[in-house]
Amino acid sequence: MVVEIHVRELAGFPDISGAHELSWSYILDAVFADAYHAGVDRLTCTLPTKALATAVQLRADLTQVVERPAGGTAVAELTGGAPPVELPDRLYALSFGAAAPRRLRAGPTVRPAMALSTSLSVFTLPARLWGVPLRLFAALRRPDLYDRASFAMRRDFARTDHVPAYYHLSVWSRE
Amino acid sequence: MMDEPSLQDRIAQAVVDLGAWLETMRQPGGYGGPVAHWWQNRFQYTGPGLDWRYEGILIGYATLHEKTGDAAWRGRLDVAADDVIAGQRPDGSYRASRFEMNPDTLGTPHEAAATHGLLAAQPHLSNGEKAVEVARRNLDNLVEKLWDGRGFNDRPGVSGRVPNKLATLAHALMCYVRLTGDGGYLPYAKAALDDVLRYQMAQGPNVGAVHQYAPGGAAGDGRFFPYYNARCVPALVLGADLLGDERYLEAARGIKSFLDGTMHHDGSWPQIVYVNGRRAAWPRWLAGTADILLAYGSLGEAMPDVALRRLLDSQLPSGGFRTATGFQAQIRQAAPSAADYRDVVPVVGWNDKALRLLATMLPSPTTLPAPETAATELPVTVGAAPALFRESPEAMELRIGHEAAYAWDKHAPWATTANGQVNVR
Repeated sequence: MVVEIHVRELAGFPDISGAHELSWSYILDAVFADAYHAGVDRLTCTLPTKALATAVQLRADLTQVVERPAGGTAVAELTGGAPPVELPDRLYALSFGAAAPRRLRAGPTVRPAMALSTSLSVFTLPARLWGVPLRLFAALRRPDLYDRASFAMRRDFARTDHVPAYYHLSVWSRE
Repeated sequence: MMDEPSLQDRIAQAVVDLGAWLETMRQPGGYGGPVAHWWQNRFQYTGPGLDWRYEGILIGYATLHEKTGDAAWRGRLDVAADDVIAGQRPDGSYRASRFEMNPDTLGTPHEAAATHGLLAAQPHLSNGEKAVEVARRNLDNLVEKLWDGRGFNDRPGVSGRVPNKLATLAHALMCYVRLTGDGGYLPYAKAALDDVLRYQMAQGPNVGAVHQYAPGGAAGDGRFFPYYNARCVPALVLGADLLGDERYLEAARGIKSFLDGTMHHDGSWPQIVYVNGRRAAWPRWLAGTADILLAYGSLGEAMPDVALRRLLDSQLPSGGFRTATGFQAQIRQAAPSAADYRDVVPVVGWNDKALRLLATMLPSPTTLPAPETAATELPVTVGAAPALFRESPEAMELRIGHEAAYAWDKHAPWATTANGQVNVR
């Protein structure tokens, strides 16, 4: 898959580590899995940090390994920005939710003239709340409880419906 | 006790069935498929992973070629080696090398493990010179990115030691030295093995066990994984020989004592023994048990028969081995009531361990039977929901009632469907 990467650095955007590294694995995998099965062969991707560029390029390289009928175009607007004027076959739009800092939530609400295909809430509020017992168990030097809590956090980390979360990804297709 | 001829016949059939299953997991670029693991899972990305799966695949195929003389195994070996060679990036790292965190690069111990596979299989490769060159570039990159002047970190710039990964890296470095006669990597191998010893318990109820992780390179984290302890043993045994240091052999024997003391009556091991005496009893590895048994073999010790039997019993009709038992209990740690989907789904990066072990156990020379595989259909649970797991040579799927919770066409690098309950990482 041919990918064209743009970066629009967002002030206050977190480092891609820990929960955010996990979040972006969900987000980028959702984008590329959908694009692959939708027959997309050209993706224009706008990222909130250049730290994600390598991860995007790697997925594009791996996705083009398999030759299959394709021809669609897609746009991944992953900075919370507005959709493009000229609508592609698939649009991947990221917005920042209630669990994100206020200044990241300042962008416009994305309502393209397309059909909503799927959505994904990532780094949900319940997952964030697991951070409290995780810190407690670490302070108490209870690695056994820490491990169990970390898997509970992981279970709650992403949802395919719209729940309070740091990130929301919506996938749109031409109506 | 299984009688010896029957055991050998069973191993021979198991290894050819496993070989047939592995062929169904190939796609352009290498061996793919979902990953279930203690740390994370990957069910959406199903493309090739150039990670530790290539350690067992390359060594297993090389061993099978050596013992059977069958050119078909050499053909598979060459193809697998070419996956790794073609997947090397300009900096020497491998594409998609983080297994349960794929797709990503600079996977530890995965790149070192794949390189170990290349080096161990090198005498059997058609493209042997290229394999050595690729291995050297990979090892150079690992040294450049992870060496901090005293030892190897797990991630660039983040101070910390992971002993089992250090053992795998040391193993690859020592294999390079042994193969080429170039001793330039020996000080790095020695430093890595010395760090394994540094985090081994010298006394107490877990004597002989090695901590999983030492953040900041300071104290160990109080987690002792029998599986990862076993992964240290072959490198320590080789280190004792190549570096002439008996401490490494003593350390390997100490780990074996820990493994002896933690094995359950059914031939399984707990996932973790904690320093406070508690345990993460579940999940318990099945295919991965092969690495524990390999540790016994590398010390010249008899493998626990019950554990070998348990491993062989875990082979599915498809020829792949189940991953584990008890993923359902990973959070609550109460005895599981049903098979979780992650228990049953066979994973290439666990099955390679079974391939390597079983190939090693075959007599030489040997003649292998024809594979006898079939489609798999088993009841599992996805979350709390009863589900059905199906696998054919072309696809895997999980159905909850009439709904597909998971669907993967084996030729595709991304699953067609991975619902929120399956796509838990």
